[in-house]
Amino acid sequence: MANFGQRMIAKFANDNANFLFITAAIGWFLASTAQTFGIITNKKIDKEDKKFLIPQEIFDGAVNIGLYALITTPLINGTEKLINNDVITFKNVKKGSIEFDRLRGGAKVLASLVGAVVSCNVLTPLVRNKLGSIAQRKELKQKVQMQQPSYDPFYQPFFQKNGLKEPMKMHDYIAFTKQRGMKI
Amino acid sequence: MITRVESNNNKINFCALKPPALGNKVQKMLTRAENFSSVQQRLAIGGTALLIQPVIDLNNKEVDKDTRWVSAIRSGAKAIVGTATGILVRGACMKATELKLAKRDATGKIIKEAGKTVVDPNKIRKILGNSFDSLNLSPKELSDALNRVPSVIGTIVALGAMIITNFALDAPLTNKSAEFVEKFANEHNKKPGGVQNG
Repeated sequence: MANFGQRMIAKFANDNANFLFITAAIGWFLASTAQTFGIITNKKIDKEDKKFLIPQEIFDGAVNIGLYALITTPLINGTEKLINNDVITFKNVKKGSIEFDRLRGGAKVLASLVGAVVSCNVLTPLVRNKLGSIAQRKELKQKVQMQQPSYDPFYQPFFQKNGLKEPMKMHDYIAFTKQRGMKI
Repeated sequence: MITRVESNNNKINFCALKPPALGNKVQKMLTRAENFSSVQQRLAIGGTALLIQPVIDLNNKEVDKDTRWVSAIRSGAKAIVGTATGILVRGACMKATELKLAKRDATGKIIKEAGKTVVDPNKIRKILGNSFDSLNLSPKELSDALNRVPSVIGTIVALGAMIITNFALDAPLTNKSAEFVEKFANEHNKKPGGVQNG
């Protein structure tokens, strides 16, 4: 009795389109993980660029596989259905013949290739750029917030300029209240 | 040309829009596509990635010009390096599997038919057992499937190898080539954030 691995290899050898579909998804996952690792460990890439490139790479992998599955699966299944329902036909080839099965298999492989090109080379870069830039903006916003000095009622009253690290004196306070017309 | 087909009861069936039957040229292409290996798949996807992705990155208005440029260069470098190493690793693994499963004559020489290596069904049965029996394939379909076994096993082995090569080759090579192109572009004042704008 053949084990699971043996049966899968036999099934994949008979269904090339699905095999290529699954192995491409695994390949992208591995490639994306490696590329992210490469950016993280690359000391020559600017820190600001990394803030965009790291999330871009992670989104690239996730979006890539997600969109690939979302677009390619219906394309493969749709092509098969169109051929089975005689919407797509082949000249001088009888339905049910070996040649027919071959052509249907080839059409499924082509459908998977079209799905891969559209999803991974067109849609994924568009979506990941959008998501990557959102992540970059969020990161920069956090940085700006962290750089802003926290309010210190003794050393940095709200009416003093930032960075003035002197204790507040009485004449500063009086001058401020007069300037703004504040009544005590 | 799409022709409209009317059903027997003379009502127009709008779902039955039937394109003409596919001719010999398309059939030839589909027959070839049926035996596409992961190498050809990687080549098709990588080639189009190289053409399309850098253009998309350069037109990404969400980020500043410098990041846009770095991102486009990386996409291009990634497409070249990823495709090259992907093809190399997959090709090598598939070739090695093909040689291992090839039919050989008494002298140990590989038997070829029409320039292609013939796989030995006995060797495949030894590896895969009776796993093809449950698929109920016709002799011709079985022959096609057996010929694709080296490609399937080679691709699976290549995926395992790529766990290492992706880290050891892809990532550092992408970084190096991206650095090289960026440096080259800077020297020629082509970078948008470079001397031209500065």
